[in-house]
Amino acid sequence: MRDAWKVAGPLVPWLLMVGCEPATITEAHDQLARGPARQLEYAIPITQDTFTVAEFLGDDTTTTADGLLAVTIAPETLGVALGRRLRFDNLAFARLKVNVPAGIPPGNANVNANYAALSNEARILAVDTVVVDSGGITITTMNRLPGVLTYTLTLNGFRDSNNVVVSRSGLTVPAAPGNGTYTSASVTINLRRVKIIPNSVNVNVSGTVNLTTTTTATTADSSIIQSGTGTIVVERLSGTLNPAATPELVIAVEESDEIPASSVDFGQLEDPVKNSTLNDVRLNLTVRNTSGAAFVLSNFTLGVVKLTAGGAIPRDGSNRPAYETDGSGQITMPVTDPGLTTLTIGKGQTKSLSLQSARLIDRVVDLVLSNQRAAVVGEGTVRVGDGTQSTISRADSVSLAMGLTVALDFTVPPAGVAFDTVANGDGMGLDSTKANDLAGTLDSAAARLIVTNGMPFGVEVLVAAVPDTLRAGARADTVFSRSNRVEIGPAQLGPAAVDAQGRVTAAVLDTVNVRLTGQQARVFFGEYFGSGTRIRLLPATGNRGAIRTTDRVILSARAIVWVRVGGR
Amino acid sequence: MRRFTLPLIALALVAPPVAAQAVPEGSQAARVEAAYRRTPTFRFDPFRHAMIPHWGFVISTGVMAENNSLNLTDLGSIITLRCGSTSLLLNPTDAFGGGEICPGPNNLLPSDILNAVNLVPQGRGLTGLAQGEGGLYLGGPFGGHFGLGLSAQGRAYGTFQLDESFVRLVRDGTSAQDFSLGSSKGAVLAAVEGGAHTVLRFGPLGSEDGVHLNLGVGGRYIKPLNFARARSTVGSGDVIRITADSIIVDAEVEVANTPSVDSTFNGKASIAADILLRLTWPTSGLALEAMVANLGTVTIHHVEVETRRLRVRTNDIAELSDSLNSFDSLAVTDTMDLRITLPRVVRFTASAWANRILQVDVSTTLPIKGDFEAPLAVDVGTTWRFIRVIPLRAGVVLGGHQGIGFTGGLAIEGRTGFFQLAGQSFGGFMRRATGVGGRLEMGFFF
Repeated sequence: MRDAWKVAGPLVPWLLMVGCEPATITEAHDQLARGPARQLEYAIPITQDTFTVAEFLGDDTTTTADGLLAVTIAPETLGVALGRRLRFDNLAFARLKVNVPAGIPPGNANVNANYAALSNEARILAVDTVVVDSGGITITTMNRLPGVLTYTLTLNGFRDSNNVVVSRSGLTVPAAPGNGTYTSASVTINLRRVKIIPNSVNVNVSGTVNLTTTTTATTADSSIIQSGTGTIVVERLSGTLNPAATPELVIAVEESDEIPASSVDFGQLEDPVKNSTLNDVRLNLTVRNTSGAAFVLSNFTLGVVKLTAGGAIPRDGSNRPAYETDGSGQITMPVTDPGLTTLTIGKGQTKSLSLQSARLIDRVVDLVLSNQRAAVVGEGTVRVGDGTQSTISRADSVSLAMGLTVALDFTVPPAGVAFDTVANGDGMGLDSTKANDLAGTLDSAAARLIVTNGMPFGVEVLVAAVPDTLRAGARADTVFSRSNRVEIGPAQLGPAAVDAQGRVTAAVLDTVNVRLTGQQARVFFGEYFGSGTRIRLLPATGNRGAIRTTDRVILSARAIVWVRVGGR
Repeated sequence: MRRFTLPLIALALVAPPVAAQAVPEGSQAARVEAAYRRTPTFRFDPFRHAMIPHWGFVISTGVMAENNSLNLTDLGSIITLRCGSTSLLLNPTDAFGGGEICPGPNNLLPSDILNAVNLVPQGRGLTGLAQGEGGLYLGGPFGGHFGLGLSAQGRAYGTFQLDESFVRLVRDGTSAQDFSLGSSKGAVLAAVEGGAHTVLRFGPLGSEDGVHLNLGVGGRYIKPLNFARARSTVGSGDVIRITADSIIVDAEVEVANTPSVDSTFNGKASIAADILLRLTWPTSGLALEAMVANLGTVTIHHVEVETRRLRVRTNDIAELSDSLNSFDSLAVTDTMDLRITLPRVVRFTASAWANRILQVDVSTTLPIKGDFEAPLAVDVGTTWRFIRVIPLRAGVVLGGHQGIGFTGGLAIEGRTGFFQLAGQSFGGFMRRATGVGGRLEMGFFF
């Protein structure tokens, strides 16, 4: 049967069709267009959807207590290792004077003296215990007697790690000529791991002077003098720590932390954020004191600096951080307890603060989104101890964990915020002939957007499309300068009504119509197209817009296409 | 059927001799064999050769195809644009061998498709039908009152209809908003048949010039070879509503087909019955005929039936696109034996001689419902016997999908055989025809 059809089948249609084949392709097209000339209208819905700003942001979003939509920036920590800053420089022992009366005949004469070596060091006497991490004391002994002084030095109140009193024996000081001049000798005692109880410090010098001649009146006064100086780095400090008594407990600090670009993610809203002013950024500060001593931060500020390309903090003439400035001066903000001028953190306490830092973070965001390196610098004074029994060790620190919540509360310039974007898209996939045909058939097409705008911003959009793919790195200006571009728009959508804080009070219903001719639509009929979009974010009344999570845009888009058929 | 045939028989028995027509004795009209007075039709006629005047065999074939929108030049243009030339029709080997049917450049443009749809007449949708048959017949009369014939032939029917309520979506745009698949459907059945038909002849009844009664009965053994059908099945829920705000589609399509040609005799064949009643008044040249044919159903074995339903309520065109993309994956396929009703043909024919050489035939074929739907058709034909054995035929076809059609043909009718050739054109002549038909018959008498 199939074979029979193969033979007979072609004859019938051929006989029927013979003479019916048009002579040219054009004639064939015209033949099919012999029907009545008509213009058809196709009205179809494109989409109806609800958009919120959160959809254009990254993943790290939250809601502020005021109900504003906010972006969170990953916490950064400023750590101040206060324990490492504790040290006593230029410690000076009280001066020991031993008088050996005149008339002592040659031979060994005993010397035995005690003195409160730290009696002049009120700053260290104010603490109960000092454990030394490193450092030492250099003790110098002067001798004007005509005989070698051999002695044992016992530092009562100084105990080593084995809890043994620190002492040195066999120490000698050369003999003096006996004419009133001194000889001297020094010994340096390493105090690492030595525990000092300042109020118990009593240094004992015990030994003999092997006199070669009889002592005279010339050598009787201050026959032996001992003094000591040193520096110690503290391992642990305890006692009724009082910065007023111990100035070493007042520590100047400066720490910085770079805000990495990866922490700042405003999704597709980076350009609007960069070009507007943030009004509400909450700095959630968690201050942690790991020590057994209270800290008081005085004159402590956080400021923003633009790091050098190498990541260094720029400095001013006073070697202080060169903070970024704006119309109000240096961009810094104080960190204090509410209503106070200082910030106090108790022993082992963790304290949370929420500070308004819009001015600071606005600049940080601007820098980071402009591909600059930015850092937050903490600078000020920390006073350790509050006069009560306290302890601080070398490992102790105060840390400031900064969690940022950037509310989407902007102030937009009256002219709006303009930014560009480019994109490549898939067209209808028609070849050139079919695309031209469709463009000729299509009389025009209109897109009608019925928008319920519940956003405190309006928008103006101008699109330029070109009939091929844009190269990587192409800019919108490039697209808008192309001679074969098709411009759509500008279309403008008005903002919703807002209150003084920029919050929407009533959504606005607006309609945007965009109409294209068939030839303009031709650009979308090929395989691909490239587009550049100029967007201008328009401010509402007061130029301020605060976006709440409930703010949204309800978009109903429909297309109406007019097509020409027949008529030839 | 009885309500048509009984009154006809009663009329024949009680009617007085019909007033004589202009058929004088010795005229061409009076000398024509009674069998040749039954004018051949392009339409389905199982008794086509049952009244041949002598024993012999007949080879016949005929095809017709029509639609209500595209004429031959339109079709030629589409083929030319799609394939480069209509010459591919001469070499369809690639297509039937599974190759690419149109290897040439595809110049068919989107506007061509829209323009072609624009040719579909308003209010009627796109419809078309085709049928073809070809086979052998062996038979002849046993005396003057009985005739018997055996036939073997292949036959194919095909119809399609895209409902107006669907076509206007593309043709007229979306202004109307409410559309549906409606009664859109299409079906094709190819079968081979073996048949036996008898004709009993009675008369003249009542008087020497009384009526002659011909009663034909026959049956055909039908073996389906191939079947395909697609139709909308969702019924009253069928809706396609497109407004500027939303798109609502609830449509269901059933697609059935035999995946391969069933050439086996597996006991699933069926019988179709045909009945004919013909009254003739030879002296007046008047004849009345009623025929009911193709009574029966056919069971088709191993038919794959897929049901696909699309239900979308959306205001997003992309969602509709997604739904259409997943439409195929929703198909439910069953393999079953499918029983279909054959396209039942009911036809009434009247013929008379207008003068010595002119016979006029008028026939009405009632609409056919079901899978192979066809509209009411009225055929008016004339047979001109300037030479008695060489009748020339011309006529018009009214009704049908295509509007007015024209028929023409000639025959040679002899004592040892006959030859008939006829053609028809619907909706216009030649290039402007939206349908065509042709028949070729050759009979050889022993």
